[in-house]
Amino acid sequence: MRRILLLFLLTIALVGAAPAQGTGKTQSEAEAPAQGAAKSPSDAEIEKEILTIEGERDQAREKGDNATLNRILADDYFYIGVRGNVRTKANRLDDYEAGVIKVFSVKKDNFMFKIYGDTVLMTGRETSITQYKGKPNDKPRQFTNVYIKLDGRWRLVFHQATTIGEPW
Amino acid sequence: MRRILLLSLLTVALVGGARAQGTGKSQSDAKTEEEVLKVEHEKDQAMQKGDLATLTRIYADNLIFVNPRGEVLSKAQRLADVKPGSLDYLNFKREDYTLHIYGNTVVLTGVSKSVLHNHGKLIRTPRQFMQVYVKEGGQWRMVSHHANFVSEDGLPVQEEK
Repeated sequence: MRRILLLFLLTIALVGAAPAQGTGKTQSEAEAPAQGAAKSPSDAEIEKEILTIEGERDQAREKGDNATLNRILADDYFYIGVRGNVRTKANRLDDYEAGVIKVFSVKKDNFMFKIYGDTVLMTGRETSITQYKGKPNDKPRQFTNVYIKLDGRWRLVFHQATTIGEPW
Repeated sequence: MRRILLLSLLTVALVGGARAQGTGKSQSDAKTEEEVLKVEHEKDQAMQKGDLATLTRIYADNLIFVNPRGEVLSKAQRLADVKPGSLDYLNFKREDYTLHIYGNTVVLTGVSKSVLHNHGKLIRTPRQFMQVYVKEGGQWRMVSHHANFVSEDGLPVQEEK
């Protein structure tokens, strides 16, 4: 009987240890900034990765390259435009496909990054020259991008831009 | 020996079953949504009262706050802005919330139709806003806010950016 009890307790201990490794530890690692983890890339490396993707996205915007945009934008990507309108990934790709949006030149600066594990907030100023439905836009805009690492790849999940200096 | 094996298998099955129930994705998302909306509500209450202690707790130290004029504010600058006398709400109304959940990160959007005085200026134009919440040390904290005025003509997007 004692052998049965010992084996029973051993089984509980082993099975109980598995969820602690599989959920508890992973969760606490996810909650803490990943910078401290041994194999995590440094903030500088993450910023470099994001800037590379932003460069690819900007080139794709200029070329109307929907294949690249489709790869970078997350499936549930959405954005808030300068007029407060909410649009989806499909809306955005359709606009490029139809040539409704044209991006003549891209210029961005004043970048700031905040990194929280697999989430990166990127802000900056954009003075790109664009056109939507024939209406040009060269006003400076302040933007926020949210990148999240999904299945090992950085994807843009959200974008918002605001015209700088709008009156209250 | 057969009894020992059966007992061991039964134990594994029971503990394994409890773990599977605990990790249901939709349940987890619903819980996250509830938690974040609770914090969002606390923040809204604090904004109306000018309760800087609560806002200090909810705003992350690295908060990036972009207002509808495209100005970028730090946590300290935002707290200075919220003080009674600087920001006074005549009424408070927020609606149309959507939440996108990515583990310990939540992107929350909504529309603010609050009417307020901001440094003496009356603001009644609706604002479309986005906020990012990140769970740090077991607490949901707001790390980003960005708001745009909503076009009065209500038309869809007119410009690329």
